[in-house]
This record gives sequence, structure tokens and C-alpha cells, in this order.
Amino acid sequence: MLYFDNAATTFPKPASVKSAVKEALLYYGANPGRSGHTLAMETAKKVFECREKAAEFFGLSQTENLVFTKNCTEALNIVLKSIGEDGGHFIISDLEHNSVLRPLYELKNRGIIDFSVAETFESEPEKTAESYKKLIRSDTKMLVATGASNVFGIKLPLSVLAKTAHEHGALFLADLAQTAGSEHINMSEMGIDFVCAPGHKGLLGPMGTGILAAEKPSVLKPLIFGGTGSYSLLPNQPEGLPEMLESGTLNVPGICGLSAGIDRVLGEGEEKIAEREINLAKILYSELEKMENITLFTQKPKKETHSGVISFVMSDLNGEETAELLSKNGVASRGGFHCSALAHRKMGTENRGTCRLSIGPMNTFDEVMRLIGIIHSLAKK
Amino acid sequence: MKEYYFLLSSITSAMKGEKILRGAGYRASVFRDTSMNPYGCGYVIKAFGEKEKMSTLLKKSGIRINEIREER
Repeated sequence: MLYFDNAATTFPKPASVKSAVKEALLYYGANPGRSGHTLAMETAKKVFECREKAAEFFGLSQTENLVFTKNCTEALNIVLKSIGEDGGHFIISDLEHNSVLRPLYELKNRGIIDFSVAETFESEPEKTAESYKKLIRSDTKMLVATGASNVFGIKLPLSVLAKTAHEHGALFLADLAQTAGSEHINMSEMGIDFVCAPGHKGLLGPMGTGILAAEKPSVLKPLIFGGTGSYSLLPNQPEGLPEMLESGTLNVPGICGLSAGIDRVLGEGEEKIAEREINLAKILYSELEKMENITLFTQKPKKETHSGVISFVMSDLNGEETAELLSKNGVASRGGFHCSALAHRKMGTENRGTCRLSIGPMNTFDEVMRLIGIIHSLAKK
Repeated sequence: MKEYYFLLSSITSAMKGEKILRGAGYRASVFRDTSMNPYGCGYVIKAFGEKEKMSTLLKKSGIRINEIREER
């Protein structure tokens, strides 16, 4: 099988990640932060090492403000619901995933908040920033932007948007579901208040891992309450990160795998990974562009403005049918609407959907060439 | 110089604090404690050195210390 569904989760995982998960199951099987025996403390140390590594990776100033979640969606929900609980206005882009749209929609439906959707412009970061700026109100609490669209790969100017938010007294949240691991992020330097990221995509960890990194931790509130291994005699949830937001047993095998995944990314370098992914995406795009019966929706990808994600449809098939046809021919892609109603509406694909090919850090030139051959033969029919 | 117990509620803070103190040349180790903390489970950094200097180092790194006890 040729795997091009990396925007959903990266596969295969590096051997080092598989080893780390196995090692955790074999040798770090105690519950961290619960007991005081040697194995529990050693396991807690492994968790701390990953926390420290991930905090440094994102340029977060304090290690304890790096929270492990079960995925990026949970991290986004924690931030959006914490900030939105007391009302106010949010601005999101027209490329946001449902994991940003739905929590805000829910809060709006309950009459608690209001939100606006900013139009984005492919390869025109200044225009996108201007679009956000125009929507800012006196009660705007937060600007939210994805690092790159999960459907069309269009990147958003995170640094500029963070600056815009701060100039108007608002906070800035970056959803790095698609770019963590392939785009260097330094929260302190870029002025990003919150980063939400999956551990299982570009960071190459196992599924069931996610990260919330907070430069403004005091505004956060827990989504779930329960055991934290601290202040056990008190009925109220203890304050202070990360424990306040990590009730219940942590996914230690996942976190150990994530730690190895981050090591792998650091070993190769985000810049190099991005370069390789975008070069493969460019080759793929150029060949698709030449084929009859193929419809593309974006410009040819460029590293500065796109990730390695290409959406297309074939002949008169819809996105799901295109993906199904590819699957029958040994290619894993994703068809349909990709949990991104806003993005499909923006690009005019809300009726037909698209088939998404997403290039990941493990894809090779040879795989891309084989993929091109398969699509070429199918498109001719 | 004496041995001190820095009482904390968070294992993350305790491990961070241990690393900071060791990095500054202090002898420090972390253990779990349920008897010193009035509200139940917590963590302790046991460290040997000057109380004020160690506590300033920890606080400067954002670590919230619940209490400092001197070993008797």
C-alpha cells in the first residue's frame, strides 16, 4: 500500500518510536505521579523528559505549561472553552477544522460567545492578516488560526496574526495539527499564546497523544476533573499546570513514543522535513496538473505558503469516490469533507468534496512516482 | 549548610526543581510524600545547601513552593 493519508495520522512510524513504545510497556509500566516507588518515579521521569523536550521544541518558556492531551482536538477544546466560558468574541479563519469551529459554534448556540470567520487569501499573508484585523471588535478575546489547512495545505501567517491579536488586546491560538514537525515554531519569539498540536502526525508519535502548550496558563480551566496525584484530601481540582489539566492516568507508552518521534524530527530538522515534503508535493502537483480529467483547487505548492497537502477530484467522481478508487488500487488517501466544512465552502467543494493526498515525513520519491503512475492510468479511463 | 525539604504539589515542578538545583551544583533528589503535606499527596525536593539561594532559584523558574522545612 502507498500511504498518502498523513494529514490524518502519519504512517508508518519510525522504528525508534515503535521501540520506545515497546520499552515503555516493558520497563515503564507504573503510574507516573501516583506512587512513590522506584518504578513510578522512573516512569514519571520519562514523562518529564518528553514534557521538557516538547516545551523546548515549541519555544515554550515554562516546561510545566506543556500539557499532554489525547489529541489536538482536546487541546483546542480546553483553550476555546476556557476563554469562551465568560463570553466575548473570537475570530477564526475560513480554513479552520471542525475542532475549532464546533466548540465555538456550541458556545455561540448557547448564547455565550460570538465569533466571526475571516477570509483567507492563498499566498497572500498580508491580505489574510488584514482580513482578520477588519473583524476585530472591542470585545474580541482571541484570534485563532490553523498553521495550514488540512484540506488544501494553504498556510496562514501565524506570527503576523499573533502580533495583530496582541495589538488589540486579544490572545492568539495556533492550531498546529498540520504543521507541527514540519514548520519551526517558537512561541516566545512569535508571540503565540497557545499551541495545540497532535502528537501522532508530524511529530511522529502514536495515536492518542496531543499537546497543549500555554504561555498564558492562568486563563485555562479543566475540561475534566479527577485524580491528579496531588492534594488528594481536597475536593477541589488543584490549580497549576500541567496536573490541573491532566486528570486521570497518562498515556505513558504514547508519550514515550512521542518523545522518540520528537527526537526523530529534531534529528532531521523541521526545515529539511518541510523541504522534502514540499518538493514531493510539487512533483505530484506538476504531474496531476498535466493529466486530463483531474481537477486541482490550489496553486502549485510553495514552501512558504503551502504544506504537502493536495486536494483533487478525478473525472466526474466526487472526493469519496476518487479516494475509493485509489484505495482499490493500493493507495491510502482521504475523500469527502475532511471535518472541514468551512474550507470546503470557501473553495466551492462543499457538494462534491475532494480527495486529499497528504505527504508525510516518511514518504519517498519512489512512492510519489508510483502514485503518479496509478493516478495517470486511472484518470485515462 | 543544611538539608531542606521543599514541599510541592506537582511532580512536574518537583522534577524541574531537582534538575535546576542539580544544574546549579546542589545535591537534590525528589520523593513522594503524603505526611508533610496537610492536603494529602505531594512531592518533596530534598536538597542540601543554602535555603535562600535554593529557594530563589526555584521561584525564579516559576516553581511554586508550598513550604520549606529544615531537616531535624
